[in-house]
Amino acid sequence: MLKLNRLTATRITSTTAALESLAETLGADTVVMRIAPDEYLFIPELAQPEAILEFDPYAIILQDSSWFGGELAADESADLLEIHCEWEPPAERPVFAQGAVAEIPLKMWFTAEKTLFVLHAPYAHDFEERVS
Amino acid sequence: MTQSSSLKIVVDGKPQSFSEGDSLLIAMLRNEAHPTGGGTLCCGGDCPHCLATVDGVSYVRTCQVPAKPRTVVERENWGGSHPVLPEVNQPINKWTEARNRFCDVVVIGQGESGQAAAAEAQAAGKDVVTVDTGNGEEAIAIYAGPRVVVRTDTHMLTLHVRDEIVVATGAAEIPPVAPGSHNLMGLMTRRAAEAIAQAGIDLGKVVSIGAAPAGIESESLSGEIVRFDGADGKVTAVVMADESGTETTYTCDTVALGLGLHPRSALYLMGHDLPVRVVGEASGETDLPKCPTDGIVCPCIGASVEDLQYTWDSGFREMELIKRSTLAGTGTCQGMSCLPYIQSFILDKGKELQPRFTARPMNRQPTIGEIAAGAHYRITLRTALDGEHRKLGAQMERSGPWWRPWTYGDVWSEYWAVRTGVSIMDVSTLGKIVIAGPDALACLEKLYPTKVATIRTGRARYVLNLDERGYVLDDGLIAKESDTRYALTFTSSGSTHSEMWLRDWAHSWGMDVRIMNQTRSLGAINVTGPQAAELLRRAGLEKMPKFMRFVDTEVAGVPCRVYRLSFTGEVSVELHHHHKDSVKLWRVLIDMGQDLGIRPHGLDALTRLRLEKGHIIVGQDSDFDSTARRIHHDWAVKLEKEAFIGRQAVIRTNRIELDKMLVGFEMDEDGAFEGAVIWYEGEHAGFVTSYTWSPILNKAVMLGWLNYFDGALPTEVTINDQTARRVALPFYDKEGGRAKA
Amino acid sequence: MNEYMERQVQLKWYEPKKTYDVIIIGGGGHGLSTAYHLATRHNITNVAVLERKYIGGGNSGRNTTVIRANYGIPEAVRFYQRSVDLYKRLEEETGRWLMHLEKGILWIAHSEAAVRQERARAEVNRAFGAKTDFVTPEEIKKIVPQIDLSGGGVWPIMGASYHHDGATARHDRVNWALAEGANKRGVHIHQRTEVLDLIKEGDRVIGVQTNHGPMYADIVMSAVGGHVSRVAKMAGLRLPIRTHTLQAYVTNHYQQKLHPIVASTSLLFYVSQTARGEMLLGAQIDPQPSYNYRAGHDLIKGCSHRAMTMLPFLRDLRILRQWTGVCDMSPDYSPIMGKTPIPGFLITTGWGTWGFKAIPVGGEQMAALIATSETPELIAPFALDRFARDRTMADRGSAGTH
Repeated sequence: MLKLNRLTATRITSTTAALESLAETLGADTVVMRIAPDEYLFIPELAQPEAILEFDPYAIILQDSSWFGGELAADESADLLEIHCEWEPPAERPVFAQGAVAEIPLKMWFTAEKTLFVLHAPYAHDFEERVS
Repeated sequence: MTQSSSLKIVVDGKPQSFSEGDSLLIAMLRNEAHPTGGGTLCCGGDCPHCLATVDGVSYVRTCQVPAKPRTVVERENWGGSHPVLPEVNQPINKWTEARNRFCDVVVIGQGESGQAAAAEAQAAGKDVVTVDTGNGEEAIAIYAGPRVVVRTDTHMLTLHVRDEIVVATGAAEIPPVAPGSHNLMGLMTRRAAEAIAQAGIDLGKVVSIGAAPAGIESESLSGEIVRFDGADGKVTAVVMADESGTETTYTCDTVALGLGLHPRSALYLMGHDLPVRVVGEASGETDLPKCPTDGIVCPCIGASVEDLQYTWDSGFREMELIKRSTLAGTGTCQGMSCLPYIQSFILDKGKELQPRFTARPMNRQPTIGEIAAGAHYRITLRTALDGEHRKLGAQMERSGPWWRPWTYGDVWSEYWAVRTGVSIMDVSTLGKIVIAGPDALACLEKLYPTKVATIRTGRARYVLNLDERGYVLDDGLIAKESDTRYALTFTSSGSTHSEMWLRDWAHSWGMDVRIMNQTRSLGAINVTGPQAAELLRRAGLEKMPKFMRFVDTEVAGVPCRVYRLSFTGEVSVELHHHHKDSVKLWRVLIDMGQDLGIRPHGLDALTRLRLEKGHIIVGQDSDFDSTARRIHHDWAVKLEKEAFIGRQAVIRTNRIELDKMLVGFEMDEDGAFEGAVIWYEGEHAGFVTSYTWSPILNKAVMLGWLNYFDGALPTEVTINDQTARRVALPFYDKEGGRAKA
Repeated sequence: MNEYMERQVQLKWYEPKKTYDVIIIGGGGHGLSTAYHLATRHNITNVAVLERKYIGGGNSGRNTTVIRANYGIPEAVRFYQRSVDLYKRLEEETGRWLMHLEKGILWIAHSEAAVRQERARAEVNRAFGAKTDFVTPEEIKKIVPQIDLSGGGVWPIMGASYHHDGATARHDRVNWALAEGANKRGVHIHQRTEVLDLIKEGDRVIGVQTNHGPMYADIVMSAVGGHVSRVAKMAGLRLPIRTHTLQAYVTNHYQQKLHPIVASTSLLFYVSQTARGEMLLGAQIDPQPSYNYRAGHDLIKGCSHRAMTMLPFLRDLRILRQWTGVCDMSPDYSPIMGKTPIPGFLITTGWGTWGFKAIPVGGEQMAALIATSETPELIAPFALDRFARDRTMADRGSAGTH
């Protein structure tokens, strides 16, 4: 069963080029979610998010504590999605995908072994209820 | 075929044995029970003659449902009254699970052509899903996507198709239409006879008309059907006429009817502009039968050939008009039985062959509970303090997209806490958007009707958002962080729309800006009341920012953006902070304010407090057609600016004489309400948009729309049979000293 | 068994003439009603109604047949109440059975804000002649015993406005009775006659070009639903109309048990039981503008779920058929009726999701306008020029409802 907990995350709004440049400097232990062409979500939160300013002095940085997340093993996550997801998740691994799951906006990071489900705090209570 | 005595269904309250593999229909026939008493059975899910109530669900085609132990079947007297509405008190206990499957090709129907289509697609390396009624899978409908919705034995399945849907549903057999009643047992289509015989049920003496059933000994009759004779509800003979009109009676126990095929093309037709292909019998032409001059054409509704003729003679000469006037084709089988005869009838009248009725879902009928599988309510968002409110026993209200506390139990205690002590409110729901970039100022200047350039760093200004027609969309604040960065707030209901509004314009103007919606990321708590400054001092805020200014500092150890403003009319700050800190900040403030009489207030108190100050709520007091001047906000619209959204419309409408204004009224006695009608000299003069009794002013106060009469606004009107006086706003603290103290 | 078959109406078909006094484009409820009222009230019978397909085949035959006057602004309450009253007399007047049933309609409130809105609705309704009361949950339970007042434990019911005059009638029969009434007095109805263009002389519209050739008239009125923007464009007119689809569905037939019409603006659904016993369900308009008649999965899935919340017995009813109509939405959710800047060209449009309920009054008033050249007081507020004059008929309480 999916259990959601508060994550630490950094959300940055900037140009795609600047965000890509920043992403390239990060290690594999940071999950980079390209949630919009001008907005990336980094999990866990970046130690030095202001590094983006080198690439774009106008970037908006938010150490964003409003994201909740939880992990499921690959087979459990496939089962959850079969019931609750009406669009086809990508097959590549690792891969990021986002869209409505159980009619709630969800962000997912798929690796070969497991899936990280991430969503905004105001949805967390209902999402847990809907998928349990 | 083995018949196990332990396998029993319950039919009309009596247990009945069945055999492994039986459909409910076969199980009933095994016990000589026809589900609807009589009528030509098809065993293909096409006709309405095997309908029964199964486990409480009426209109179930029993030929399509496998018999399972303890299934409860109630037979309906077809031709009599309709089934009663079920008694259901708990929608959740029979909740159907929904599943999704993504594939390249779906093949519906696994007859010969369906199997061939599936094999061909598989050979081409496609991911193929087959749907077959033989496996208890019924294709309900094809929708855009394309999607195929399927009811299986255990759940609802939505198939999402990448390449193609192949409809291989075969064809229905055409039922007989003959004068007199043919609601008899023993009438069946050719294929039904084969299926029933194969189940080991003795058909007695069989005569066949048209194509003869395979594997059954039958006497093949020729000529035209004159009528069916019966006794005790069973067929006893069929009367046939030859070319010369000579009638011959053939005694029999079973009539097997091979009258031709009518393609089951509904799924194909409902997918008309989707990648749907039809193969096999489903793609064929209807073997149009001869339409006799008498007999029931539509067994679901009971429409006869005579009815068709009557309608025709009355001037209804279109397929759809005939359907709508006779109602033929509007029953459970949706025209599968009657359509070939109606087509034939119209053709005989010298018209061209008319197309079938428009095909729409449903092809097979799901219950409302089944089709709802996997659905959810529109979500109502919860702030970080949602749990705190509920712990305090708040009555929660769905307000815009959010759950918000309406009251914690006593609205007047909450009110007085604000007016005389200190109170807090969860305002995390406010729209909060940051805009930054070289063009941030230019962008806001083109958007807003205020002079954004004159806002100084560290200060905030109240602003309106207008649409292109000059009507008020929303209101909020612009706070300047630096020359290239601003924080904007919007109303709680307006934030999603406002983000689109902002992005659309910024994008279409090609502005070099970054926009981040922080509504859901940041919490916000409003601290208000004469003791607010004292509470905040205790929490570590030594120096309150001046009115309409902000500072970034720590409150109770929590990093906050502190905005000084006021909606309640008392000293007021908004503490914007990180989502994770909301609960801590809330609890510390309540703890520290105990001796100051602190208590949180909800929406009910807030709307009264702000009303005393004459502040409007966009969407409650304003309407679709509220220009700034109609709501007394023309001061917030600087027409001398070169450009802003809605400027041209405002200039144009400002030249038009005003017809109504949003104004304040007061009344000595309590008793009006939101929506109360305002009268002036017996004429309708407007209506109340906000109302409260004001304990501090000892009178009733309200906002409302008031019409002009002869170019002037009345000063005294009647509301709820009382005299109300139009007064200048605000009602409370007219000098405005309290909020700025 | 087939007691609901139409057995009264007799339609006559004529060969098209070259000229008429009045040409009405659109053989739906409003076009037929205008022709009916021209013939019966003003003795104007040299009239042709042109229908692209068959009469009543557009939205007039696809709607959910609700008749009501519980609107949020005085102008609308007066207008629709007139229609409610005309509907009550229409069976007697036409001598045709329209399956008109007075049922009452409940608009359920699930929040404090919605309670206030429904109270306000009752107030403005009563003030302008419509019979509506605010009712408590206990009273609701008496009116609809099947209702789950807890709203499935998720959407508790806090009150409702109860509009006593809420009614339904069989849409086809209304269309046909009006068609027959017009046509037996000499009005021509031409089916399968599509208007390809308007014929103009200078600014003035003087006729129509059809697939059966040109026809001329002093007055051309558009009573088109769905493609009204195209017809207006032929006249050189741009209308503030967006066309959205609206879906609905019916179940199989059941014995009569659900008496009133039940609606919820928060849960966005409404349900009524037809005279024939089907349960008729619908929801809000689809958010995207479209002319596509395809029925959708998401709508029926979500609407069914929400409807069961309040009326649990719906769960086990089998759905027969789902369909779609198109709604011409104006910016203020009120109709647009009357004269246009183009001489000789009148319109009746913007019927959104409330066209059926206005069929009698809409036709009556447009006929009066054609006969007298004066805009009747009842429809003056709904003139097209109201948008330019900053006099929109904002009716927030009725936005997007059926």
